[in-house]
This record gives sequence, structure tokens and C-alpha cells, in this order.
Amino acid sequence: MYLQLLVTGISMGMIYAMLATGVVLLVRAVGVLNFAEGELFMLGAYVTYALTYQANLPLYATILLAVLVFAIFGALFMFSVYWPLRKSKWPATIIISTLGASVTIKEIVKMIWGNIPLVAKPIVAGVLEIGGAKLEYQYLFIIVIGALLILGVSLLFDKLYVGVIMQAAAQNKYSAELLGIATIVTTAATYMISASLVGIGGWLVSPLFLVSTSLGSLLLKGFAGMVIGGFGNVKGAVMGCLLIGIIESFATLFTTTYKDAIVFLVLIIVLIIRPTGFFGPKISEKA
Amino acid sequence: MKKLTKNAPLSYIKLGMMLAVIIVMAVIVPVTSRVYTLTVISGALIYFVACLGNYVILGMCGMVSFASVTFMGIGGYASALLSSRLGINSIVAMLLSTILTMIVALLIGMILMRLKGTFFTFSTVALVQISYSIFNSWKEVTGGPNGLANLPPFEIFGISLSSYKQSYILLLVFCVICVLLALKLRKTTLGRAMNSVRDNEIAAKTMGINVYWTKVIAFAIAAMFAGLAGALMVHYNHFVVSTYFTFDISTKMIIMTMLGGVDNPIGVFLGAILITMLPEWLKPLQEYIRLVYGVGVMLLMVFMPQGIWGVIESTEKKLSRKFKWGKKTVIGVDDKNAQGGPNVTVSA
Amino acid sequence: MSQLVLKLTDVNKSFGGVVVAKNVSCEVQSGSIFGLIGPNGAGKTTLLNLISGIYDVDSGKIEFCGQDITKSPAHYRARLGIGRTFQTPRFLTRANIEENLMLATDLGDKNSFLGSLTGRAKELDIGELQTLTRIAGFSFNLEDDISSLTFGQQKLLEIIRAILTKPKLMLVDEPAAGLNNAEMQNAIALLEWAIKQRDIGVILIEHSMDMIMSVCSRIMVLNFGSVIANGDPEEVAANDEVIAAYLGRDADA
Repeated sequence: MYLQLLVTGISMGMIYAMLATGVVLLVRAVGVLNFAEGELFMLGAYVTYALTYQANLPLYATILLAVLVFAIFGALFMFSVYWPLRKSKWPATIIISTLGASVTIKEIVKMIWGNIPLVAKPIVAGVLEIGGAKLEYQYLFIIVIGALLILGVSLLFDKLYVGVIMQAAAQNKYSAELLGIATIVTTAATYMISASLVGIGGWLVSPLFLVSTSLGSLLLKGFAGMVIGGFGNVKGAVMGCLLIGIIESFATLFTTTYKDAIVFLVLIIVLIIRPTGFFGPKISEKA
Repeated sequence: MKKLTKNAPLSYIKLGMMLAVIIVMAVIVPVTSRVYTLTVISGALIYFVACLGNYVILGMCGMVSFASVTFMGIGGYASALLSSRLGINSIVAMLLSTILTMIVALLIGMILMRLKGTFFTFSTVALVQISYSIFNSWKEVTGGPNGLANLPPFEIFGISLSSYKQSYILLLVFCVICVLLALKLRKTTLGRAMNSVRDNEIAAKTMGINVYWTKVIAFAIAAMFAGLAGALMVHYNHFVVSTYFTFDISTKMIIMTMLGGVDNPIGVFLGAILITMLPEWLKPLQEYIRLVYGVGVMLLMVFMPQGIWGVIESTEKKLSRKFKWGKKTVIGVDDKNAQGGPNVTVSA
Repeated sequence: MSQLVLKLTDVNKSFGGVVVAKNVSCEVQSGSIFGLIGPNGAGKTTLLNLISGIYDVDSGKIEFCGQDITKSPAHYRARLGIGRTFQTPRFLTRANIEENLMLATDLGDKNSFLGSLTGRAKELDIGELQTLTRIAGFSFNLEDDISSLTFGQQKLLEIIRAILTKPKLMLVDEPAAGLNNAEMQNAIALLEWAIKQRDIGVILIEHSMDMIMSVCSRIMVLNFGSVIANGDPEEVAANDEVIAAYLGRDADA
């Protein structure tokens, strides 16, 4: 029983973590808070649904095409939301533009696929039985894939040359350009990776929830994870999100109505004791 | 040595516009509108008061905050409870709850303002989630998802305002008071301090401005407007429920502020009216409204981040430079006056 | 009679492994200009930042008019009377000239919030501003944007703004950079007005040797964060170490 809850919790936590990582990527590599990340996530669910159930493509083709679509969309997103505003006098404009983008994406999806939620079947069907506990393979699949992707992405950005270049370009565009780094390329790449990451997350979650336009609201849970774990770095965000997933899951033992409230109670406590999260930068550091 | 050149015709135009707006709002609208329209516009007025809060924290102090709905909620529920459970006069309840909201905001602000830029914005999002969750779950106090109903209407000196028209006028009065407060704030040392924190924090520090406290106070003042708006909303609707205070509504209010012009309270007013009325005016395009809205916001940020009023102001500036309108106070050496410092430079 | 306005005692600061200030000590008197020179990267602007409180010192003591301000925050030091200009002028871009200057007079006149809320909005006191602007040798309209001024005029205005805050100590960072000769003379005139009329102590960072030699009563030379000379202009100009480090191999003195 507890194992089941734990697995469900970690699995959902992994989903939140993917959302959070997508956001953190953009924060660290571009410096913006993308409120439309949830909609990119939702788009992932719809696109993969379309490829699997409407175009009836086999799994590998779905994945390949989907990632391609995500990457293209990510670049498109960057060009419409970030690029024209990168030098704006008002820093708020980018954030607000992402808000507009989230509404736009939602409406476009609605227009193409309609308002009624769609049903997707588990990617990996079946149940694993361990000593009385029934663990659905789908959950385990999510945990494995999610972990691999997040690990891959964070390695890319922290260890590999390519990633380091992208971060450097974000922190100091002027110098980067002097060194011959085309910031437009690095920025676009970051958006594409972020979109692909959460897009796949959307695909992973679609059998669990219905494929609907409200999937984007899961982003807010990802945000909560980022607050608890530490804003601005992947490790903290992932830890926080996993924690949220587990808390949510076990909270159902006591109550379903207050589930959200409990999560956010934890949030309040963290905000008061350590506003930058457990793994975030210490406040005493001077600008 | 003050040199007064002729006043810009455009300034007269701005003044005329404002006067026209006041006449329309105060006289024409209540007399000629159907009840339905009146309620819609009243809703806009309430959001306008809350958006003045955005004007203070975002426009004057440069910090993006989604917390307005949290404080609307606190102000709203507080006023609802004070008036319905303790029988306090609704106007008094509103003022008390506004003060309560400010105190809460001061405490919250003291924690949140230790965070920089994006971190801070982010924490306000968390704050909204937390407050929504509390509003939705704490059934004993807030009525949970069912809300609190049958709340007392506005009462002045024992007379209940029963008609929509009367309530509308009251809202208008509050709006005017709030606008005057906001405009006055700009001219105080605190207002200037906020502007400098927004534009150049280091320069602000070297000018003796306590950046942390300036931000906290700005946050509290913004909460004051939001709390008042929440209280007004609650007594106008005779009802309060958690769905009034979601993240989406917070987003809408920020867009209202930016559309009209984040630099000026009058601009904010235009934004509030437009965002509220456009869905009504464009009813035939019902289905596409939200798409237009989403795309519109993105375009707005690229092409008109200063908002409608901002466009008017920059046009005025350009024209006044070209035609040399407006009052000019000349400091320093006149071109014709050759006296001055050891070396006179001819100004560019 | 002049008093001791600023005293630094063994101030140290490093960023990571880079030492930007090493055992720096000096004294600045009111009514005088104290020159701070050194090659690029010597740590001059850093020292000003340490004095105005933008950075914290790692160790050492900073005393302002006898008061220990080593741990005081930047805005508090500004309120005590430390004024500052920057290499690139820091003005509010979304406010006009008048509003920018009112920030200074708010500080100088110690306007309180309540005072400005209840009293009439205090109009900018034009008198002193006029005098200073005449010395600076240009003119402007109060209602204009900062962007309507040239770079040189902005730098001069920044000095004026600092003077309007009624400081006891002014930290002036390379005022002559980007100015033509006439403007530079006006900048000197402004600083001399400040020390003579207001008994302000000035720390001046400059690369222009003309300016330094003509106005400073004492000069301190920094190199890689350490003080290599501290004395009156003639001494410093003759100092071999200074010549080697800074004035160049072809100095003839």
C-alpha cells in the first residue's frame, strides 16, 4: 500500500520535476520566467496523442516526430515571445508576454482538438506486482524516463562545453557575442530543449490524466517544488518537486479535499524560514 | 529665471479627455445605461482600484507581483466577516479590512522583499497559490468553494444602498479618491524613492534611499488598494468565493495595467475599462475572444509596452519638442547671456 | 579650520582570489581634494565602492567624521553625508531632469515622507542649482529628459547632483573621461566651488594628470590594490615607484 503511494508520488513528482527543470533551464540560460511552460507541456500531450491515435504512427515514429515538433515549436516560441523583447526597457514585458502566449496556445489547441478531453492509453501497459503491492508500469516508466531526461539535460548544461557556452551567453550577452557565440543560436537551442523536455513530460502524463487543456495547471505544482527545493538550480527544483509529489500522494491517506492545502502549508513554512528554498542561494550574498 | 512658452494644445487635449471621461462616467453612464451594463462597468471600477495597486508596485517600483488577488481576498473576506458576523457597518468594515490587509502585506513584504527580481515574482505566484488554497479549503471561515453569501450591501449613515446606480456612484467616488491618492504619492519623497529603486538601485542607495524598506512599503500600499478593491467587490456582489481570487485573475489585472499604461493611473483606468468591456463589445466573436486576447497581449508587449496612455504621452513629448510647447524652466546660462563659468559651453 | 572627514585604516577586500584592496589607509580633510590615481584595474573604483558601502570590506575600518561606518549600509552612509558620482552617470531614465535632481534635494534637505505628503509638493530650490549650473557652463530645461543632455553635460550634472545632497565627502569617479577641455575646466570649477564654498572633502579618481596636479592637495597612488605612494603632488610625481608603475618609462623627472 505504502509502496504504491510512494511510487505514485515519485512518479507525479517526476512530472512536476520535468516542468520545473524546463522552467529552470530558461531561467538560468535566458533569465526569464516562462509562465507558458505548462502549455508547452500540454501541447506535448496533444501532439503525441495526435501522432499516436489520429495518425496511427508506431511508437518510435511518434517520439521522433514529436520531438521534432517540440523543437520547432520551441524555436517559434522563442522568436515570438522572447526575441523581440530581449532589450525591452520594461523587464515585466517578457513575463507578461509568456502569459499571453499561454492563453494563445491553449486557444489554438482548443480550436484544433476541441474542448472535450481525450483519452490516451498507457504507454507501457500492465502492472508489476511486488509482494502484494500493485505498481503500474506506466508510473515506473515515467520515473525512469523522467530521471534520464532530467539527468541528461542537466549534464548537458553543467558539464558539456555546449551547455556551459549557453549559460555564459545568457549571463553576458555582450561578451559572448564578442567571442563569436551567436546568442540567437544558443538561446533558440535552450528553448528547444526546454520545450522538448516538457513536451515529453506531457506525453508521459497523458495516460494518467485525460488529455485536456487544463494540463498546464500542473506547472503551478512545479513552481511549488521550485520554491521548496530552491529556485534557480535543477537539483533543488527536482528535490522539491519529488517532495511535493510524495506529500500529495501520502496526503490522500488523510484527506482528499485538503490535499492542496497541505502542500501549500509546507510552502508557507519554507518561504518563511528559507525563502530561497533548501538548495537555493543563501540570502546573505550581496548583489 | 522661468521662461514660460505657450502651453501645448495637446496638454489641453489631455485635460479635455480626462474631463470628458469624468463627465461620461459620472453622469452619462448611470443615466443612460441598462442595469447589466452598469454592473459590468462597476466590475471594471473595482478591478481598477486593485490595478492601482499594480501601478504602485509595478509601475512605480518596477517589481512584478501577482499578489494582488491574495490581498483582494484578504480584504474581501475580512470585510465580509466583519460586517456579516460582527454586524459592523459595511463601510467601516471595508476601511478596517483595508488596514488589516496592509498590516498583513507589511509582514509578508518583509519576508519577500529579501528576494531579488525574478525570485520575488516567483514567490508572489506561490503566495497566490497558497492564499487560493486557504480560501478554498478553510470552510469555517471562508465558506470554502461555496463562499459566503448574503453579505450586507453598502450602508452610509444607516441607509442601505439598494440600487445598482447608487452603488455605482459610490464605487466611482472611491475610484476618484484612490486616483488622487495615487497621483499624490508620485509627488512625495517616497514616490521618487520608488522610481529610483525601479530605474537604478545602486544610484538610489547612494542617494540615501533605503531600498528594502521602500520596496516593502510599496508592497503594502499596493496591498491597500487591492484590499480595498476586494472589500468593495464583496459588498457590491453581496457574495464572496474563492474563485474570485485565482492566479488567472491576477494575470488579467496585470494585463489591464500594462494595456492602459503602467506609468499613469489614468492609463490604468483605460486598461481596466477596455479589458472588461471588450468581451462585451465583441460578443459576436465570442469563440475567438480568448485567442485574440492571448495574441493581443503578446503583440502589446512588443509594440506598445508603455500602454495606451504611454503612447499619448510620448506623442505629446515628440510634438512638444518639435513645436516647443509646454512650460520650460531654464537653468544655467542663456545662449545670449555670455556670463557664466570660466568657460562657457554652447549647449547642444 | 579643516577637519578629518574620512579615515581608512588597513582596509582589505578580495573577490574570490583577486585582491582588490590591500591594507589601504588614508585620511581626507574637509575643504580639500584628495587625488586617487593608479593604472587601470588598480582598485580605485573598488575603493570608492567600499567607502560608499556598495561593497563590504573584508577587514579594516572606515571612519567618517569620527563615526565608524564600516558596517553601515550604503544608504545610511549617503544620509550621513557621502556623495558619489560614477564613471558612467547613473540617472533615472524614466524621469525628467527635475525629478532626478529632486532625489538629491530630498536627501540634502532631509525631506521626510510625511512632510512631503502633507505639505505642498516642495518645489525644487532653484537658487543653488542656478549657481552651480552657471559654473558648469551649460543650460537645460528642468522639464527635459536626461537623454537631452550630452554625455559631458550629464557628467557635470552628476557632480551638481552630488553637491545638492549637501555632503561632507564627495567621491568623484573620473569626471573628466569623455569631456572636452572646456567641460573639464568647468568640472574643476565645480569641485573647487564645493571645497571652498561648502568645505566638502573630495576624493577624486582621475587619469588626466593636468586635472590631478592642478587641484589636488594630496595624492594617493594605488597599484594592484596596494598603496604605493601617498603625499603631496610634488612628492608623488617624483616617486620612482609611481613613475615605474604608472607614469611610464619615458617620464623625465
